[in-house]
Amino acid sequence: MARPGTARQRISARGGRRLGQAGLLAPSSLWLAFFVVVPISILFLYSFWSSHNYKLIQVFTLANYRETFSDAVFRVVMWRTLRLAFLVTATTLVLGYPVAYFIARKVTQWKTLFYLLVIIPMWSSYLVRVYSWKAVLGEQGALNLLLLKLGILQQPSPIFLYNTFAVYLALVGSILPFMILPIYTSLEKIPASLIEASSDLGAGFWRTFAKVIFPLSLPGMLGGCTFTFVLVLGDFIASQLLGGPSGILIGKVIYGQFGLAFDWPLGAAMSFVLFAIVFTLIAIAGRFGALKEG
Amino acid sequence: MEQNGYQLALRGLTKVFGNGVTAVDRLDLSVRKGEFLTMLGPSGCGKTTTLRMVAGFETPTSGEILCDGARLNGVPPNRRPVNTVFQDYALFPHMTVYDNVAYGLRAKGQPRELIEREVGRALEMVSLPGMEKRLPRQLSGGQQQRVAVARALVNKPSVLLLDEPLGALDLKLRKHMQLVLKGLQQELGITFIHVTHDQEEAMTMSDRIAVMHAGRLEQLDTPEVLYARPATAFVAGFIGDNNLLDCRVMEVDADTARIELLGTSARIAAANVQGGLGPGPAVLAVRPEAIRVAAVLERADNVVEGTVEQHIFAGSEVKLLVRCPGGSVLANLRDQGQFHQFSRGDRVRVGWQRGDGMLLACL
Repeated sequence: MARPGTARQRISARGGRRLGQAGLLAPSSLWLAFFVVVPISILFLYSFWSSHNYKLIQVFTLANYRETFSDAVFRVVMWRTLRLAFLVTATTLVLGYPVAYFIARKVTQWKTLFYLLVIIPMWSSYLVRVYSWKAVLGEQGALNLLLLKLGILQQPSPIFLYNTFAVYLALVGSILPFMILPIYTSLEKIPASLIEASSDLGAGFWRTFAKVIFPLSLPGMLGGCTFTFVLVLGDFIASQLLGGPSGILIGKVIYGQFGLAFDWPLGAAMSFVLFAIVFTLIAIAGRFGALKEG
Repeated sequence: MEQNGYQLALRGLTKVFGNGVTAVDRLDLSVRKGEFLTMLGPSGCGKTTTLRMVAGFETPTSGEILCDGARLNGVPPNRRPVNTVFQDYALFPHMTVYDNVAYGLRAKGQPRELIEREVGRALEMVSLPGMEKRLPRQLSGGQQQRVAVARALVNKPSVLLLDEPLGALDLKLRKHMQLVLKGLQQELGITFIHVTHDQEEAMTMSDRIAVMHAGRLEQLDTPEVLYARPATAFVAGFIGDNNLLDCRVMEVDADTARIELLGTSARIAAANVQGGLGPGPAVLAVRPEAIRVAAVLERADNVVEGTVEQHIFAGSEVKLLVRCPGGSVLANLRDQGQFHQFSRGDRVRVGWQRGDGMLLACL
């Protein structure tokens, strides 16, 4: 029999396929290496140097990390940012899941239209979307106008803008699609026959949802939560434009080190602390997801 | 059939889809208690839609579904006394075999000890003990199929619905599972309604077969009757090999129908003529095994002359395709030794008895 021959052929075919896969991955790998790994590595080096009078001193030091950890402002803002990230994630999850469910499992004819409605906001600039909240929450904004019209306020109030809540609103609004899309994808993938089988076996809607639909959409939820969380942690535009002093987020603090203070080493150190926190949280979430999937 | 001898009855069941396609057209069907009934037909004949209406996944446009005397129309799937084995098995991928099989009992809020006992028994029944902790993706196709059967049967349904359950298995496993399912059905005495497009599978497993075509029931009877006395040209062509010969009916009397075909005339017993068939175009269906071939044929009621066109060797059978004026006739040779007596181009006579074959209306 030609068994050994076919086995060898199979192995070489697999090797060929692996080569093909490497070929497909090469361009993006090179891109990532040159434009992500290299700059970040340079930044990592920076975090162990120091700066004096806007000049870089290339001598190894841990001072930046020491300063980052001992800086009360950093700690307060980091904590605020994490809290906000959790809050935005929870809110977009609660708001986004029903939307994703509706489009994936209830809409039959106009699926593309609904899908587009979710994506369309992302066609406009993020900056514009954040600015538009000023037009809503500002002293001459729509909210004040409404409250004046209703007689609830006698004169325009400035309290709606320049705080964490304004940042929260803007972030929820602009990040929501990133939560909806992965959940939509995972819900869409659930075969209709599984839901029919559940019903066939005597389960009502809520049991089917709890035992079949929800568990099978966990990967999508996990993906959406990760996106959302990371986007909030990295944001500085919403914080800058809507946050005021009480709405400063970690992104803005780091941005400040690079831009205003021109202390690149300290900014780099802060970035890597943030990086470590994000990485840890994603690793935990990933482990959780892996457990859930069995 | 007596009024209360059935388990499930369909009365004028009709399904017209939103796009105007009539999938099932005024279907009347009664399924006896404890019977293995197969709905057989080509894809698009409405058999799966019918099954889905019984399960509750499709709403009938009109007509009634009765089970144990109760009307099922409008009852949601989770409250129907039927369970389904799905074509793709539809096992819950995130649950173990045990959790899959226990799903229905848990949904009904059964006590834990009972669930454990019943799940164990169900898995034993399909010869899968010890697989409780596996996930569906860790099982072979045949094992997944058996889990799907156990998951449905553990609920002790009045009727088990099987939607082409063996379609995804390879031939050998399919043959094996046919016997397993048939054995289970006989052992448990549960009514099975099985949907397939594979006529051989239907013949092997079923007590009765409902042949469907274009949303309508063509014939409902035992495999033997369907084979020997097809009621329509469609059934004659769908079940087993058959010679469907275009012919013209000249006259029909109480004893005999006289027809013209293949350039000659022939006589068919009146008992083998489809009811209501009068003079005009028709189809004569004769099984290849009823056809005799010889250089000289003395003892055949009907004889046609032709030329040997093809020799076909198919293992247990040897076949001869004979070209006659106006059509070809396929004959299964009774005697394997006859095979070498003929060669291509030989002039032969083919013949059959007046009681062989059915004279049917054209499709």
